Parts: sequence; structure tokens; C-alpha cells
Amino acid sequence: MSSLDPAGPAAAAIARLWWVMLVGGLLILAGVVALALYAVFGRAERRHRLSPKLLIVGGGLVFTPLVLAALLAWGIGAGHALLPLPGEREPFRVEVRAHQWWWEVTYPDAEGGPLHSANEIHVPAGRPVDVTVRAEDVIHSFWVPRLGGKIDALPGRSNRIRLEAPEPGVYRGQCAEFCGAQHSRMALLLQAHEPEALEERLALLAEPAPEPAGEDPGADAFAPHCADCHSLDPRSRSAVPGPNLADLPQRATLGAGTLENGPDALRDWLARHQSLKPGNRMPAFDHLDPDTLDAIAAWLERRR
Amino acid sequence: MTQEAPPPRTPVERHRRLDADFRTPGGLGRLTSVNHSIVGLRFIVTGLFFFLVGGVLAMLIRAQLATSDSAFLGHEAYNQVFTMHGTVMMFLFAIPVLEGLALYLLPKMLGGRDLAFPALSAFGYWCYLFGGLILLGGLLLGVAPDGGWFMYTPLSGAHYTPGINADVWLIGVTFVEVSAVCAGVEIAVTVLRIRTAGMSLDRMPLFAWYLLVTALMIVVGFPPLILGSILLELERAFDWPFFDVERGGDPLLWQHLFWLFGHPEVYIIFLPAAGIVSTLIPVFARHPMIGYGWIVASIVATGFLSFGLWVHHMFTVGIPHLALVFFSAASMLVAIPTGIQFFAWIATLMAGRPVIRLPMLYLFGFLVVFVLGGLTGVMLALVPFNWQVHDTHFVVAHLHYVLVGGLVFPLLAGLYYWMPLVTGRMPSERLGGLAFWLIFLGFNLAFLMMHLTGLKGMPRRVYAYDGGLGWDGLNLLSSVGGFVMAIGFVLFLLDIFLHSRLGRRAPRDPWGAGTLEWSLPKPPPSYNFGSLPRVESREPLHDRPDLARAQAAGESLLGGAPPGGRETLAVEVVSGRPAHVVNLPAPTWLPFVAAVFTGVFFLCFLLGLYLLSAAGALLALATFLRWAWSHGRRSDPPLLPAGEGLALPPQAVVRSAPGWWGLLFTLVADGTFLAALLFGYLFLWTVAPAWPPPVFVEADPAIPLLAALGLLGGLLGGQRALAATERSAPKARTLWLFVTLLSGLLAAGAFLAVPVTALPPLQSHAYAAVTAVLAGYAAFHCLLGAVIAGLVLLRCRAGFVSAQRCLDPLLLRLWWRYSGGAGLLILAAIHLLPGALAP
Repeated sequence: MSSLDPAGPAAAAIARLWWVMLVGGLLILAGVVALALYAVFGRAERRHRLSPKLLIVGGGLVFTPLVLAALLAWGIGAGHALLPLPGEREPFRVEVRAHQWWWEVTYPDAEGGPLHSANEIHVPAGRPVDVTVRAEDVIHSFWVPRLGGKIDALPGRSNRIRLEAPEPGVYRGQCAEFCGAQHSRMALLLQAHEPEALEERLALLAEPAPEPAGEDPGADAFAPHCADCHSLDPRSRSAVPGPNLADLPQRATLGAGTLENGPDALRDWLARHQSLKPGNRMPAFDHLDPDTLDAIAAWLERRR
Repeated sequence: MTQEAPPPRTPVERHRRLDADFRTPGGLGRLTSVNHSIVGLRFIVTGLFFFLVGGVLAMLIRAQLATSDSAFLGHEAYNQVFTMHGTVMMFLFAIPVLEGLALYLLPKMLGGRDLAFPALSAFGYWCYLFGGLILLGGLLLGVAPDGGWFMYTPLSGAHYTPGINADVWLIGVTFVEVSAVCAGVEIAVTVLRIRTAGMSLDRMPLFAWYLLVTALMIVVGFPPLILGSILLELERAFDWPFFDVERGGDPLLWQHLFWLFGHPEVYIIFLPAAGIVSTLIPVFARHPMIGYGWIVASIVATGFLSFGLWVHHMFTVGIPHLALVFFSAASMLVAIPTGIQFFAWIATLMAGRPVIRLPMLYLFGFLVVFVLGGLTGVMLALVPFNWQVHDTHFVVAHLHYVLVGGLVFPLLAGLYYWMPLVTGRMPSERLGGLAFWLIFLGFNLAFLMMHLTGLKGMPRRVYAYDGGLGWDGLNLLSSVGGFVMAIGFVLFLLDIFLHSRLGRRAPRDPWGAGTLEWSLPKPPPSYNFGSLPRVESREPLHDRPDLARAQAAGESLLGGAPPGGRETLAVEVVSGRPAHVVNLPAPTWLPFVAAVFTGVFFLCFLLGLYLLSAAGALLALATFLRWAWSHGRRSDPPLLPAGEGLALPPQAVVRSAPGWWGLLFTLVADGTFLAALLFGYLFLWTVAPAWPPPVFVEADPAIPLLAALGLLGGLLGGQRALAATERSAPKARTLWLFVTLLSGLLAAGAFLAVPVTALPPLQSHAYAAVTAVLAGYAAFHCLLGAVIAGLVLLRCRAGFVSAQRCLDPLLLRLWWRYSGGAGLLILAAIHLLPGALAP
């Protein structure tokens, strides 16, 4: 999560700004403190010879504005370079819709039409990625610190940010704008892949899960209790917003970073999600007996 | 009458007479106090109490974050705790304490016996206390606001915060802001007019300059937030969609209104604190302040610039890059006047022979901490860096460096510095020094770490975080530092408490200062000055060390002290030449009663009891009218002997009396409110996604015509009523007052007809809701204009008004000049703009 360990050009440029400003800032602080200490403890005959006007004009009207002007010029240039402007390389496009408290992810250019998933973003390594961000309820902020700055997700508006991960890897992100009860548990993972690996991963998302032979109690229970909010079809969004579950078994975490995913994690999540992530928008379902919950979990996990 | 009493023969007699006039009664009568020393101290003590509350909340936060995945507080409690920490510290501690310091000190520094409107600041105190109690009550009942201290919509809207929590914030804070605006008007008029003879603007203590600019910033800075709070409360209570994107609102409008207030607010807090620094530095440097003019220019520049950089709180909302560059530059620009002040302070120390006393230690803390906060502030003004650290613990660290550095350290220095004045006893260098080092080291341990925590990716406002992200150790250190700092603050309070009772007796001018407050006995008498000294430089006490004796003996001005006179001096703004004598109010129940009824209005609105709430508002209005009735006199008074052979007019016959200035500044605040409202209207029109609305206003043409007729009638009536008063034509006066009254009613009716007859349902679109608010604003002003005309009519009958005593019709005319102009502007915005802009 550390912006001081940048993994992409945008974050690296900002980290460079930081280190330079840190050194400059410390020098200025040391200078001001030294000057003040000298003013109090220095030999009176000597410091009385210093012209006060020189100090005020030189310090206040020459030194400060010069430093600020230099910094501003550099900052504007650095900021401009980070903007998602048209360039030589075609960016990979992803759409993110922020919800209380999870991320809906859409790949608009996927083969065969847009693909929907949640809380994980898969992108190509070494190619610019344009993330279009908006919010479906309150204001959130999209932020993957090792790759770049943040951009707010607002209802009714779209914002775009350009990120790039030169190397394959997993980069953690988190909502940065306070968005209510579970603002703390609203993480996302951005995974950069080699081109072929990305194709495989997206193909896995697109491919429908195998239907189990015969009747399945999990499937029967899923339809009335879960299907309004959770779509299993990566090609469609559910009527009431809830994370799309198409590639659920393949995801690294559950509950937007609350729980590490694994063979028993989903059962655990279904049984205890209101204590793992209190106040989340999924009803507690404690009126369902544990066997039914386990059956739903087993059915959702069938492609693991 | 007062003029008949002979001047007191001895200092003791003078003291008795003055004290009888200015003293606050005991028992329940304490609630009637209007004395600025009492009211100022009440603000300070209440503010320090809320500082403790905010401090306890801070310790809860640090206890929660000390370890990852802490189970100490749940998200519900934590979100209330951090929201209330920010709210309490900003609205209930920082601003009120500084207001209290200003109210307490300004008359003593400027050579007045009280403020321009002592009863108004008493009213302000009660508003502050009651508003604070509403917020505190919310906290104790577990329904405190939980949306963060800047209350972003739509999270704070009725859909996502259905409980009463957000209403507690909106109503409690607005109540407290009424108090701040009162203090702003009070301080501005006091500094401009209520000074002693010879204190020209360029002889004022710098502290007064800082407070003057701060007061004007309050008057201009608070109305946008008051507007925002009213709009959000209307949306929450009645579903008028100002911030709902689907129905033509925009959450960004809230952010603009909030930060239009929120950034100046930082300087509203910093400037008075810098005023403390500029007061203390020359005293301890043993050298007059170098660069007085530079500093005054810097203060004014800071005041202006601080209104041009609010957008740097919104760099990540997706604003065009060019606009970001502009606000980035403006944000950096404000560092220049601050830098000039720093170099002027250093130059003064450099030129003097500084002595290290306890307050200087705290100023050293200020220097280090505030410079660091300023440096990180410049970093944050750099757009790309801001994108990375915005909303992280880096920002939390930055704002604490700025506020603790820019407010708390100077404030503690100031409290130690003026403590001997208030209590007559000296603080302890040893205990105070220990407290300083604990606070200073604890603070830096807590918040230096936080820069790094933020850079390592920890967002602010999280109640739990995963271990193993590199945040655990840093957070633990921050918590340890926080608790060390808390111990320091406890020691500080202990020191102040113990030594205000047991400390060494303070000599008359313990620090060797040159300003007037140190010429007073300790503790100062209720009336401050037995007689007002004539001032010839910036450090009158250095010119005349025997000022205390001269004042007790009644030399110079207003030593006559007629019983019941409660006199102080008003001077010409720039030159400081005596202009007239001000008669200050006696202790009165009116401020308390008015604040109670205002409280009924707010509290009942909070609880959804709208009828009771309206009753509270009417009772408050009735109290204000009764209050207005208590002013003035029924016969033309002669000139008053003021000492030194001067004969000055009494307040009653002066056209530019404090009341006129007070109304002027109130209207400046009012005008800013309207400007913010019009900004909101145009902002939604041009920026909000769901525009234009499906239907525009469809008014019968008679409605705008009648409104215009009423507005012009009010303008003309106010004008003519004054002219008739001046030429002593009572019949014409009565006629024109009636014209004004009826015009006001007519215009108010015509404006109210807009939402009732000419608009689509107000819940349907932000356009209808904003138009209704504009119409309501105009109707309110016209109605009040009619009420004032009626009041003046009655006061004319009762004999309060004559050709000489024409303040009543003067105020009426001023009110109508504003309301008429504002009304015509609104009329155009409602009826012409849709035709001009709509496709």
C-alpha cells in the first residue's frame, strides 16, 4: 500500500516530488530554526548589525516567492504528465462503480461485450490503463497508492485516472473518501498480468460455470435468497446492486478485502459476515439454517 | 439627569460609582451580565472545557488505532467519535476561545470600558453554550453526528443517514455560528470605533489589527456554511433536493459551500493566534515590533487570499487541470504574507535583547510546529502530490501541525502571558516548562509519525486496519505520543488552576509590556479605566509609566463618571479623534431570554416539532423587538463634558452610532449569504448534471410586478421617512412609514406567491427548491422591513425620534436599501434568468 514504494510511472513521479520536497522542506525548517535561535542567543553586537529590512524583504519577498515559483512550475509539469490525455499507446479501459462498501468492475471492451465483476481489477502489465470511476450511492475515492494518486467517485459524474503497472503483480487499493459505516473495509486488488495471462483470466470470467448434474439444494436456495442482488452472469448487472459473483471462487478476497478467500472462507463469510463487516448491505440471513448456507456456498464454489 | 451629578472627588468615589454601573449582579443575576470581561472569560472557560471534551475523544481515537483490527470501539462509536472530535475542536473550542480572548482583551488594549455591543456578545455566548450543549447532548445520547466534520453529501443526506445524527450537527453548529457572526460584528465595530482618544489606526496594538481582519473574515466567511447547513437541513427535513444528482442537485455544491467557509476558517483561527505572537514577541525581545506596516499589509493580504483557495480541498473531485493550477498557485501565494510575518518576528528578536520567559518557550514550540505545518501545506498545494496523500493520515498530520502549531501553542503562550492580568498571580516557570516539553515532544511523536503512516497508504477515518501493511508500529508510536501530549495538557491546566490561586503576586506590569491593558489594576475592575487615557504612541505605558495613577485620579477623558452614564468613547475611525460618547447597556435579561427562545426554535426544529419551533422563532423576534425598544432617549440631550475641555455629543444624536455600523456589518454578512445562494443557483444551473429542469417558473405577470412595486415602495418609503424626520415633519413621517410598512407586506406576499402558485412541486427538482429559497429570502427581508417600519412608527409616537435623534429611520433606510436591492436582484434571478438562459 505504500506510495513510497512506487510500482508505476505516475506513483514514481509523485514519490520523486515527495523526496525532493522533503529535503527542501527540512533545509528550510533548519534554516528558520537556526535563524530564530541566532536571533535570541547570538552575540548582540553582531546580530544588531543585521538590517531588519533586508531580513523581511529578502526572506519574505524574495526567498519565499522564488522557492514557491520553482516548485509550482515543476508541479504543474509533473501534474500534466499524469493526465489521461490521448497518447501513442492505446490504453486498456476499465470502468469502476463504487458502492457502499464494494467496487463494481466492468471491462467495456471485452470480447463479446462488457464483462462485470467485483473488487478485483485485472489489467495488462506495461500498458496504460484508464480507469473510469463513478459512484452509485455516496462519494468514494479510488486509490491504488503504488500506482498513482486517487480520484473521487461521485454520483452522477464520471472521472478518469490513468495508471500503469510495468511489472505483473498485485497492487492493493482502498477507498479513500469517508463513505460511512464500513469505509475501513473497502479494499480492492488491482492485478497486472502478462498479455496472455490476462486473456486467460478474462476468459475464465466470461465462461459460465458448469451446471451440476441433477437437483442442487444450493442452486435452489440461491435463486430466492441471493439472485436479486447477485448476478452469476458476467454479462449482466443485477436488479439491486450487489457484487457479481461470476468468478467468485477465483477471487483473492471476500467482502472487499475483509477475508482471504479459500475453500472454507465463503461458508465462514455467509455465516458471520455481519460480524466480520458489521453494517454491510447484505442481510444477515440468520433465518436460514446453516445447512442451507453451506449448500449455497458449496454450489458457488463448484468451479474452484 | 446624569449631567447634573458633580464629578467624583476621590478615586474611591469614582471607583464606587463606576463599579455600581458596570458590576454584574450576584446570584441568578449573573445570567444578566453583559460585561465584556465576564462574557469573555465565560467564552474562554467554556472553550477550554470543550477542548477537554475534544481531547478525550482524541484519546479514544488513538486508543482504537494503537493496534490493527482493534475491537475497542465499533464503527458506530468510532465514526461518531472522530466526527465529534473535529467538530468540537473547530467549532466549540478554537473559534470561541479566540473570540473570548478578543472580547476580554480588546477594550482593555484599546482603552474602552466595554465593547461596542456588550449585550450582543452576551447573546452570542448563550447561543454558543446552547448550541454546544445540543452537540454534547447528541454525543451523550449516542446520536452524535457520524459523517465526518465536513459532512459530505449524499452520505449526510436523509437516505444514507436516516437518524437524527446529521441534524444534530447541522443545527448545533448553525446555532454556534450565530454566535460567531455576532462576535464578528462586535469585534469589527469595537476595533473601528470604540478606542480611546489619540489611538489612530496606526497606533493600535497589532493584536487589534489581527482581530479586525479576523472579524471581517468571520462576517464574510461563515454565511456560506450557514447557507449550506440550511439547505442540507431543508433537504433532510422536507426532501428539497439541493444535493441529489437525480433531481438536479449536486453534492459538489455542498463541498464548495463548505470549503468556501472551511478554508478561511483556518485563517480565522490562525490570525488571532498570530496576533498573540505579534503581541508577545516585542515584549520579550525588549524592542518595538519591526515592520508594523509590513505586518498589517500581510494580515490584510492573508484575509483576501484565504478566500481564493478553498478548491485545494477538492483537488481529487475531477476539476479541470487549469483550474487546479490556479488554485494551486493561490494556495502557495498565501505562504508569502505568512513568511513576511515570520521574518518580521525574527527581525524584532534580532534587533532586541530577548529574555526567555515561560511564554517564549511556547512561542518556540509554535515556530517549529507551525513552520513544519506550513511546509507540508505547500506540499499539499502541489496538485500531483495532493492526489497521492489527500484523505490520508498525511493530511491528518498536516492539519494538526497547522492547528496545534498555529493555534494551540500561541494560545497557551497567550494564556500564560495574560494570566497575571486576570488573576493577579504569576504562573510557575517550572511546572509550565514541564508541561511544554510534554506537549511539544508528545505532539511531535504523535503527528510526525502520521505523515509516514499516510504516505504508506493509510486513509483517514478508518476505524480498523489490517495488520502487516506497515502501519502497526507507526500507529502505536502515534498513540503513545498522543497520551504523552494529553498528560502535558493536564499539567498545563493544573498549573493555571493552582497558580491562579496560589501563585506569586504579579507586579503591575510583570512582563514589561507597553500596551494599555497592563496599566489596569489586577484583576481589572469591571469598568477597566477610571478615566480614558489619551494615547500618543503604540506603547503608551512605556511613554507614561504612571498611567495607572492618572486613570484612578480621573485625568484625561470621561473621568466625570456620572451615575448611570456607563460612558465610553467612540473615535473617528482613522485618526482616533474623539467623536462621541457611547452609553453602554446595564445588565439585562434580554440576551439570555432571546437566546433561550432561539434555542427553542433550533431544538424543536431538530426534534421535528415545527409548530413549536415557529413559536420559538416568534418569541425570539418579540424579544429582539423589546430589546430594540430599550435603546434611545425621549428628549434631545445636550453635549456632554468629556474632560480636557472637550464637549462631545452623546450617542443618541449621532448618525454614525455603533448601531449603524453594527447593522452595516450584519448586512455584509447577509449579503454574503445571498451571494453564496446566487452562486449555488448558477452553479447548479451550469454544473449539475440533471439540468435544465423539465418546467420553469410560470408566474402570473402580476406577481413580479407587485413584488417590484413593493420593493420600490419600501426603498422610497425608507428614504422619505428619514427626510421627513430630518425636517421635523411628523405627518409626512407617519405617512411614509406606513407606505414602507405596506410595501414590505405587499412585496413579501408577492415573493411568497412564487413557490405557492408558480413553481412545480419543490421536491421535484433542485431548480424549484432553489427558486423557493430565493423567494423565501426576499420575502423574509421584506417582512422584516415591514416589522421594522412598524417598530419605528411606534417609537416615533413614543417620542424616541426627533430631527436630532434620527437613528431609527436611518437604520430603516439602510435596511431597505439592502433589502430593496437584494429583492430586485432576486426578482431578476427568479423571473428573468430562466427566460434568458433556458433554451
